[in-house]
Amino acid sequence: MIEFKNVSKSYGSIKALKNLNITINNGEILGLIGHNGAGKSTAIKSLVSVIKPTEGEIRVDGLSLKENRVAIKKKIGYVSDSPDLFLRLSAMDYWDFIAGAYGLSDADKEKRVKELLKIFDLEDAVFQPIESFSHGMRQKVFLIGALLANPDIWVLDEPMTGLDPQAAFDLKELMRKHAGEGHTVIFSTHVLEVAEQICDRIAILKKGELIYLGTIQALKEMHPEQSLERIYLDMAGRKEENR
Amino acid sequence: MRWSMIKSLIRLNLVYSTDTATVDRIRKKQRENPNLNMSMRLIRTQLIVGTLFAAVFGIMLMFIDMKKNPEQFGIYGFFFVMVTFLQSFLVIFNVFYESRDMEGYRHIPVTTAEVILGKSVTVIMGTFFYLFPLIVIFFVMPFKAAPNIPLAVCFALTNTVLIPTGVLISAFVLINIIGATSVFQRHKKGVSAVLTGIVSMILGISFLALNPQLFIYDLLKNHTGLFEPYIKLLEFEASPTIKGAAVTLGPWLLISIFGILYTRKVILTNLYEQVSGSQSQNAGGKKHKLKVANEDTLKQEKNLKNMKQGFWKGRSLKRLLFKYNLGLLLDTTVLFQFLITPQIIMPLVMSSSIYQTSKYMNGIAIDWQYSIVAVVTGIFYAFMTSGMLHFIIISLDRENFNFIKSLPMDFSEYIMYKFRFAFVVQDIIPMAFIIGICVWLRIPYYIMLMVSLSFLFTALLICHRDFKSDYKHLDLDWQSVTQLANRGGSNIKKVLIFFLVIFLGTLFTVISYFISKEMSLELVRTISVLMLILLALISLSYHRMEVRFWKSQS
Repeated sequence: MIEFKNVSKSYGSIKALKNLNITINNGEILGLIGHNGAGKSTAIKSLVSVIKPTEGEIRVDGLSLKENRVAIKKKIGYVSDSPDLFLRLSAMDYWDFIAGAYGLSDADKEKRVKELLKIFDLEDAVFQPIESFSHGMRQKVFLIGALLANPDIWVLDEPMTGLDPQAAFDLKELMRKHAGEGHTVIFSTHVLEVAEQICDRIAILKKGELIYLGTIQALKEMHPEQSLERIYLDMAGRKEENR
Repeated sequence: MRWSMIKSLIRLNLVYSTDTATVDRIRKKQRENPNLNMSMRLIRTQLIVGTLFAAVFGIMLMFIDMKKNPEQFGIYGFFFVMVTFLQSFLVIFNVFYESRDMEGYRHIPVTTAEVILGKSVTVIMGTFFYLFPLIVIFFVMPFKAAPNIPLAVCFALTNTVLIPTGVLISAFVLINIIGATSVFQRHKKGVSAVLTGIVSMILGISFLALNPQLFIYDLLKNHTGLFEPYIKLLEFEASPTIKGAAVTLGPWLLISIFGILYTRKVILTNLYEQVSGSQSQNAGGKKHKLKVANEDTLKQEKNLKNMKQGFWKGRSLKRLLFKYNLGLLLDTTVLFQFLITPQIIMPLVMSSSIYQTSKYMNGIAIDWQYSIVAVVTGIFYAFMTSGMLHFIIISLDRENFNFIKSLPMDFSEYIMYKFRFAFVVQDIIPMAFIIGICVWLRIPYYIMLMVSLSFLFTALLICHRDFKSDYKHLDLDWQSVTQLANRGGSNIKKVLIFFLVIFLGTLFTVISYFISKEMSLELVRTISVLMLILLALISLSYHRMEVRFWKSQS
């Protein structure tokens, strides 16, 4: 279980996240939705220790993130919104390192890499530097890295960006399967259809504030005459222009 | 701390401490043989080269009578302290700052201490090449100088620990002081390129300092202050006194202690944030948080501010292109391999022979009699220094090249702007060098003009040829700039051509000198002017032809 308790993050005078309170249960897929700059990545980065919240607390399985960073990081597999890290390494170098960090044995690493390579169709590129890859291929490298140790919690920041339809479909299947096994998946997206397809609940953020938390079904029932896109734009967009 | 994790971090960071060309070469082999262990290969190479280098200098020192010849030890000591410092400076910079990977470790279950230790060990490995000889020199010296063996062992161990520690720690402290300045935080790319460029250049030139035939050796010998501390160390270890210890080993002890304390108390507490670019210190050392953690938000703020100030008003396309092309050059390899080496190091190597020649030039009046030699020298010099940048400047655009082609602007104008930009950047240093040498040797202005013009006309020809060659072998998917330099022919062929140019250049210069001596002044003057006119005609016609070619590509 993941709990965000009054989590805020400020950059100077700008409040990127304001008093976020969310509890995400095991076996759940939560979609974070919002415009650019709504605070989705800030929330995600706070959870994966890339940034430190200015206020509030994050707890994972009852443990405080502040006091148990390394232990909690071991439970999380994360894909960043910009897959431009470790560019000079080859894909295999990167996975070797990740396997070491998560304490995976060589045999387990090899088995898992083979499985994931088949899914993401990246066999021919494993010894090439990541910087030579297209956006989609880089995304696949970091997805494989995140899923390599099969951690309990998957935190994926816009994971579908750049993926081909087959890889996007397979990833959605993997996410469903992972949640079905009692694990947690949190991901951000701009594509409402994706959220509709796989999320158990969605959290809509606007200018750092949580403006909706619940199921898409419940949201639709609140506005029976409107499409999901219209509902979302009315809530998160520029109201006067969208009407 | 987990040793397996640190080993893993060392393996990872070795890629940053090694030059791109070597890494690319091993990766190519790895594709054919997936079992090839790249990190082991890199470590082995560093160990072998370091050991060989140490053995060579160790053996050389064994045969030097240091008591009779302390100056030589002084120069060796100064040289290896300097190059180890510079090399460690570069490696620390590459591993901690240029790798740009600190942000990537944050979400991975690895502690800050593990990251810093892993990176630090990689740094030490990256300096083996110079560190091993440094250790050997200061280890061997006491055995040659000290009055008895127990003292020699004691001094050898003290030197071996104290001097390398002082060198490495001071490089680490200096780089982090630079990294904490607001100038560095604001202009990371530019400052990085300039810093690494300068350090690489000094490293390149410093080897010349060991050659007594070159003028740098003479210059160094005249600055005894530089290697005096090492002579004093030798004298102290030959006849030890308390005062001697305080003067010679004392400063190293102080540097090491201060460096370690400063690193623990100041640098390590803030290093992760500083290297990640989310926190900074101003030049005065006072901590303040920069609002750079959320770069997107900041960029938005900055753009908004710029727009309000009418930032785009009056910004001409040419100015933007200049800035863009300059940005392409701010890469350490581009700067060093394509600008600094041919433009600065090459002339410096040549200047040593000019320096030697100048010693015999007293009393020789240089006049029109040498004008043919001047024209030939200009041509030869252009072959030595021009064209390298033009051979990569289009490919440096990468995918931008195709994008720019799609923009509603004249392609030939864009491409010619690139040509002119590279021509100015590339040839400004050799031109300054020609003028500097002519002024230094008091060569008449008309000879200077002849060398300059023949240089410029020849350079124009060479640059056009290489520029077109880049277009012909266009590669927008390159991974290292070295890959670009290796296009269009084998390396052996290129090295052979380079030596052929040197050989023919020297031959023609010598021939022109002897022929000129046999001719009347009038004839020499006429021939040299005619040569220059012919060169100008060929060069300018070729230029027009190339401009037409690029227009046809629009």
